Amino acid sequence: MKPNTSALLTLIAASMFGALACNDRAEVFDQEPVASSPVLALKNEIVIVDSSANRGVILAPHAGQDLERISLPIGHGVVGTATAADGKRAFILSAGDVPRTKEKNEKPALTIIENNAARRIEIESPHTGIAIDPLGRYVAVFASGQARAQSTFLENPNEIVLVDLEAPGAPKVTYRTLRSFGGSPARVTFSPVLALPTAPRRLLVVETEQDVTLLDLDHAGDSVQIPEITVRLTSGSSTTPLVPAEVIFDDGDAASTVDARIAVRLKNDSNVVTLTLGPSEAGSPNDFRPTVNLTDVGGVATDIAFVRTDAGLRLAALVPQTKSAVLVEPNAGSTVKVELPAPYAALSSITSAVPSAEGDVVLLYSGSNASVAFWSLGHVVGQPYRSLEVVSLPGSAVSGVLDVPAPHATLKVLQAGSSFFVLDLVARTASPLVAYGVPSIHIAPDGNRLWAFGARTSDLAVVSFDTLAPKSLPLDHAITSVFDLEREGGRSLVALDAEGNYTATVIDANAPDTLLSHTYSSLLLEGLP
Amino acid sequence: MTRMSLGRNALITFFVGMLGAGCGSSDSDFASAPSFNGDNSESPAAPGADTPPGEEQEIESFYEAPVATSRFVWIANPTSGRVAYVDASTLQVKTVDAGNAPTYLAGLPGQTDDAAIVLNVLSEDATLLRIVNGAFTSQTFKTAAKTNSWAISKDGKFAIAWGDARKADSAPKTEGFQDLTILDLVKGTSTSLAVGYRPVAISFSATDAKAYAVTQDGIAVIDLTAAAPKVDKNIAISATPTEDPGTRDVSITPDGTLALVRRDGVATISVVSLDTGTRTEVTLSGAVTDLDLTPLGDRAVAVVRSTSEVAILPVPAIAQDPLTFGKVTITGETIGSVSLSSDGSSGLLYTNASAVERLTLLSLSSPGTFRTVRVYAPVLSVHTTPDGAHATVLHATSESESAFSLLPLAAALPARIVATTAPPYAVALANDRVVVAERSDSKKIYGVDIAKLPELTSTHYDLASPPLSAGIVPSVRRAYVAQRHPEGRITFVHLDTGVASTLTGFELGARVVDGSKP
Repeated sequence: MKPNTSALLTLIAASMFGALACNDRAEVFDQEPVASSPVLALKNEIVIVDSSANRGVILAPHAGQDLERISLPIGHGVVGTATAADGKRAFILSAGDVPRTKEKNEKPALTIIENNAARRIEIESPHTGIAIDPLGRYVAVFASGQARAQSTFLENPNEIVLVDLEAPGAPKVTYRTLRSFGGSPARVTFSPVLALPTAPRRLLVVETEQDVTLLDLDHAGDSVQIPEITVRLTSGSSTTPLVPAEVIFDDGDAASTVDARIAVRLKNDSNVVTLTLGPSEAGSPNDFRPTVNLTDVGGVATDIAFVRTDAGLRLAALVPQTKSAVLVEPNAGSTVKVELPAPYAALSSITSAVPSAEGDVVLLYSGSNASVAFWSLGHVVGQPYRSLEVVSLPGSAVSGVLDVPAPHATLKVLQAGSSFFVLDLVARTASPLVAYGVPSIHIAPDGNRLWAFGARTSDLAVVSFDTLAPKSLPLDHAITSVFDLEREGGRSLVALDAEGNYTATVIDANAPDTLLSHTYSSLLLEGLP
Repeated sequence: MTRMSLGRNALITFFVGMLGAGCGSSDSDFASAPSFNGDNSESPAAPGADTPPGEEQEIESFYEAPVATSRFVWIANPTSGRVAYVDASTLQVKTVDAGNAPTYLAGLPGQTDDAAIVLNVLSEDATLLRIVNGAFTSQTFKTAAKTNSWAISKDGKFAIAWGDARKADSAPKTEGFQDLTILDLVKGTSTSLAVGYRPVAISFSATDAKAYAVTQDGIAVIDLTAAAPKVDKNIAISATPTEDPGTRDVSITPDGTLALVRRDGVATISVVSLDTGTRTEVTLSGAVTDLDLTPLGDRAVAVVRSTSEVAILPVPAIAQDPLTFGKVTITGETIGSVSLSSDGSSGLLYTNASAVERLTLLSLSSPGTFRTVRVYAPVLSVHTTPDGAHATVLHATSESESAFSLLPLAAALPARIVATTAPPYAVALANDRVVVAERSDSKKIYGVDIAKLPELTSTHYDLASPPLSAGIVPSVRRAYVAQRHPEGRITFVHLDTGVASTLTGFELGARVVDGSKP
């Protein structure tokens, strides 16, 4: 063979091998990361849900501003995410592969990330709503009423998929289709343990557009299903349904098993509905039954809470329409109206921070008012006019109240436009901190500091709750979110830019100094096959 | 024997909800007493001591408010066309369909099961509601137009729907309300017939063989034993056709043989034989201000205020011998009214025509024996417990000062006055409990007091809405106070534990689905 022919053949062969090598590149590289992928914050790490790569990217800070990155597989077709209240687990709901033509195509699933490991629980129905039990035992998957998972042509909106994470052996998945009178679930809430007539129990409360359903959690997975209890909120003589807006719980007197209550605030009516859980009638498959009571509070209530007053348990309802709060005595249904100095629309209990032997203390605020009020319920029945103390915040309407954990639990952070205030619940002082721009606030879980940043800017600052002295820590990239995370030997702040392939800067949270920070770029390009 | 009154324009009427025993329960703790008309939200002003005495005020009962049977409390909702019934032991609410505008309810006594009947005003019929072994049944009967009241026989076999003109606002004179309907609840038949002009009361004989309609034209005697009920005869009770019927007060003996008629300002009592129509006049020492018949019908007690004299007329002997009867003068006391105990052994004498803070307990078995008791506010009305051991005295007070008293009768003990936050509005009694609902619409103060007997202690509960009626369901030891609320409201108080529970929204409460039914 002539030398020229051999070289040509070699060249052709090399070209062929080169082309083949290019065609073996993983599909993920052809897909752009999903814009604004959910970022789930756990106690000591964050999870970026990279749905285009079907993975969760864990970022875990370590000493020396190191950032460990771990990729874990998650279900295909992410439709919902959530985190556990204790910060130990992340939940990712996926719709699976559509269509399923091969064995390896996935079904809908719930992926749980915990301790840097992922476990996948298959479920039959690709719903989009997910609710996490505050006590960590259950996960409820349901049709959230928002965009339906694109994998489904037809969906049963009244199906609740209940996952018991603490079932013996493996998590137990139970499918329940709730009876419907035309509505479908809009919100799912797990109750605390309630002392019911025959035994303490937890309930799953499902609110639709027109009724409230109570499902006995302790028996939800029984082989012989106990029917749920539906409280219809329409009298049947009106075409206007009463729409539930919120449910709250109270276990009543510790010595009684017949006074546990659920209160339902309505979106479109001036009544508040109280369900008292008492004994059921003979022949009922349930061993408790709600007794329904309506109480008119004079206007549509915007917030409700069970409170302890100097006269006993009351249901407090805020009615900004009448610039008042109404206290409902749950047994007789009698009401006491307390005039408020401003149309407060939200309340936050602060009794745990400022205990009072006489009754609960509640903070009142509203996004349309430049003040907050302390409402001492230990003086409300005899002298309601003396139960309120107003703290003015000139020119700043409070849009949100953030809790501060211990050791500074007697503080609250009030968000008010470009300012925010550190409210001292004991001294009843409000210390303003002014930002140039609208700051986003993140309270450190250890209760020692807060972080403020300008969304989509590189501006970052930290404020110690001991000194209230801000320290500016500008970064060299935009910030979309920050996370104050636990690590061995201390805490770290991870400032994340969620645009593109994600960038993160790690700063020592206890001794913040940008000189010692480390920045990690293109995080989503790492760990790909 | 229920007392009947002819055309008296009472300023106030008091209402007491039926207790369970009288409406289906076999419990002997039963008392029925008149009701407080909800239209009068103002308490009557106490008569001044120096003003001339007015008229004694009568008490009547109205079947409009909720009624209690052995275990259930029934509440009609004219708007929805449904009747709610609340299990007084579990507080579970259910609603059932009745006719168009169910309004006037009555419980049926003498039943082994819970039963009530409701008049449907707009559909001009009545619905019989019965719960048998936990299962609900209903039956509809056609009724005459414009009926708004019930009279029920003791055994619950007959129910008579009739029209009381006093309940109709501005009824023209040409509206006679003469049609009534007799329902035979056993046979399932209804018969409408006409009686005299504007009846004021209906009652039954002891054997339920006859019913009597007291009208302005006399007493219509209705034969209930015939194949279809019919008016046998009309007994005139006055020889004077122009006599003002509004001044008459008629009592009929349980055996249906005699009617005793009192007239305002007249010193005679007419005793009329309902068999022959014969009238006998009994003359007393002055104008008779009150007349009551004992439940057995063996004595009639008449009060002459001007002479403070009480006449005890033996029945039926008085019809034959109008001159022979007992007399007792309560010297030093002003008395004009009498309230007899349920066993007929004693009577409480008082006046509400003037501000008198005393009343007198007269023994009828030992005439001449009496005891005067002081209560520290003017007497308005007196209500006796079924066993006759205690009485509750409602006082004529003002909006700012109101009270009731608890008076032991069996023992010579002083009365206990209980100040209330609002004027008493409704009363219910059992042998060991008294329930007094209070109401002030001007001050928006509503409440209920529950007193214990014989301890004479009282516990107050605030109510969220104006009370309409009060009652007791003895079988489950619960008192109830029905209140005015657009969605329906009723408060139950357990008589032993004192725990109060309020139900509001009967229609919603009945729509709780727990899977017990498909």
